[in-house]
Amino acid sequence: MTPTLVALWTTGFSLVGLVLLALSDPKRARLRRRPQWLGRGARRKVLALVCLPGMILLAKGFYAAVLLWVGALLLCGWGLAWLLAWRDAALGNHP
Amino acid sequence: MLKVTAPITRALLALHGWLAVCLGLLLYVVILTGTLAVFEREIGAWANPLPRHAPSSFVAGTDPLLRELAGRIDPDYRDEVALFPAADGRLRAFFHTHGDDGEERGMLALIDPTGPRMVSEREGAAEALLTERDNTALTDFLVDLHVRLLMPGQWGLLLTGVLGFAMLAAVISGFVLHRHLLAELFTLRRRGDALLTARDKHVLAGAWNLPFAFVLAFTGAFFSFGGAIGLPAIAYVAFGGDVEAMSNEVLSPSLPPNPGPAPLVNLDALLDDARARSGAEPTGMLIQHWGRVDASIQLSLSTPEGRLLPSHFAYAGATGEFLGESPPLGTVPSLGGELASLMSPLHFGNFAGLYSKVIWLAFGFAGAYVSLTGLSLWTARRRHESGWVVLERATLWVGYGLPVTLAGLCAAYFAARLLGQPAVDWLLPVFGGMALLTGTYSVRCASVDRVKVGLLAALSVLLLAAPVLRFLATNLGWLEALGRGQAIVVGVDGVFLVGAVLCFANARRARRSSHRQESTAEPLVVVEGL
Repeated sequence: MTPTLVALWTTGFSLVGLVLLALSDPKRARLRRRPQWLGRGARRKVLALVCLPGMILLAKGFYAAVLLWVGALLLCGWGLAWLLAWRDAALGNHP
Repeated sequence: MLKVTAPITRALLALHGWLAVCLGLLLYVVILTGTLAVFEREIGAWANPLPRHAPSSFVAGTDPLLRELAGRIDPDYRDEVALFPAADGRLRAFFHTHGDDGEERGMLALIDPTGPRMVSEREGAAEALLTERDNTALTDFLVDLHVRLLMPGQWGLLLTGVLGFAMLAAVISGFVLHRHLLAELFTLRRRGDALLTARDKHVLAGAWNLPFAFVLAFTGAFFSFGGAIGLPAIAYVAFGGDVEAMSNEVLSPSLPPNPGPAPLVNLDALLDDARARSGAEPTGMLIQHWGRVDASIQLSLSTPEGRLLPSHFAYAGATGEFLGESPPLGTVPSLGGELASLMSPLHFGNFAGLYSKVIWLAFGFAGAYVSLTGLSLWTARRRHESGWVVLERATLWVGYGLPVTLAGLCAAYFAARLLGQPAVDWLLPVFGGMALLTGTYSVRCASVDRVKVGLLAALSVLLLAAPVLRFLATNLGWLEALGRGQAIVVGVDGVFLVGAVLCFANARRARRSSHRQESTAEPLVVVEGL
């Protein structure tokens, strides 16, 4: 499997966790006046899962794939924050 | 969350803000042009397409062309031969010698790899030969603007090095300053105060871009100061100021000196050998002492799949004997050499083809966005204080005027080619003229809000004009380009056209917003996107 494919798969895996982190973000929940549905401990476990593919790639010495994974994940996170803000604004959820 | 005292916060805020005020606009120019330069090869291939797609610049049949040229040029020029692909995919061969005065003179040949055939030959001083390259004038200008801000000598490198450190300071101070950075990774308030929304967008882009901003700033400063100060300093300390002696010591394979005559090995066969050994494509070649027993050949190769660093092979020029894989720097492997060579993939993002380039492009734009929105926030908050409106207009001028000027450069490049003029002579006057024009417009425009509208509309028109002029100048339509395997031409045209539509839509939105704000008491212009 090429590093690009490895990075795509691992980003996909981490993205699921990132979506969970975004949806359960405490500040976002506070702004939307909604209860926080994922506790602090659970969020930490999800964060560890998000980082896991990167750690494995690093341990295996796939440095190119690690860089691609980090870059793609950061871009996805930025995009996710915009997407959720746009969705919240459209639904009138934001103050 | 970082805990810092109020006085430190105030000091950091002042540092962060004043760095942006003093250097933010220049930093924006460097970041934006660097972002575009990630696609230097693609832009080069689009601006001056080859007759058909060539998988490599080093193709079979290059050896006889070089051998024929080597046979009829000044024998001194065979002292060193550098072969490197131009941004448009053509191969440059620079046969040259190092004079006693330190000046390099030689013959620069341009080879079309689709033949392969010799396109042009020019003789003279290296500085003149390497700066008057009409076939890659557009990409050379873009890279020069990014690397030196068009300044002469080492001054440009020094300035961009300082800008790199300024960006590092801004990244670090921004991280400490926005103490809730990690807690606000998903916070973007889109309703209510426009200034608050703009602040959230700035912080959000800065936060997600933080690791890459740090890496790009550090590696950029390394390259600028390395070229301007580092190499001359090492040469001064260890080699009495002789840069050539240092290069030979650090970069050349050690072969016992023997000036006796010996024919050079067949280069096509040598390239095939390197491909077979590495599975990678050659990206550069340096031949020393062509035609001598002690001739050596160093070959740079593309980064193999899955690796960060490319390989470098060394061969004996007379026998073709494989001398082994060279370390990236020096004659023996070292941590310093590895770290120094790591700077290149980290800065250029060219280690995994299009995928890594797209990521680097996105983070480059994020960096430009952060620098511009930061400056915009600073001036918006001080709009009612005298003097800041000048910076506000300057921010809009550079923020939107630079893309307008760059799009205008593309149009001018093709217009020059259409008229049969040397494009390389057009670019600097056009750049200066357009910078002056957009600057005058930004200053003279009745309302600050309308500056953005006008510049976005101009950008939209120029982005539309560039592909049309490209078609007229190269006479290469989309179907023909696809038929010749040059999808990149269609791709770049498409990016320009999509950009034109987006800018037009943004201009219309900004115009409506401007009308709305003019009817209210408190207008607010914040750069929201390009």
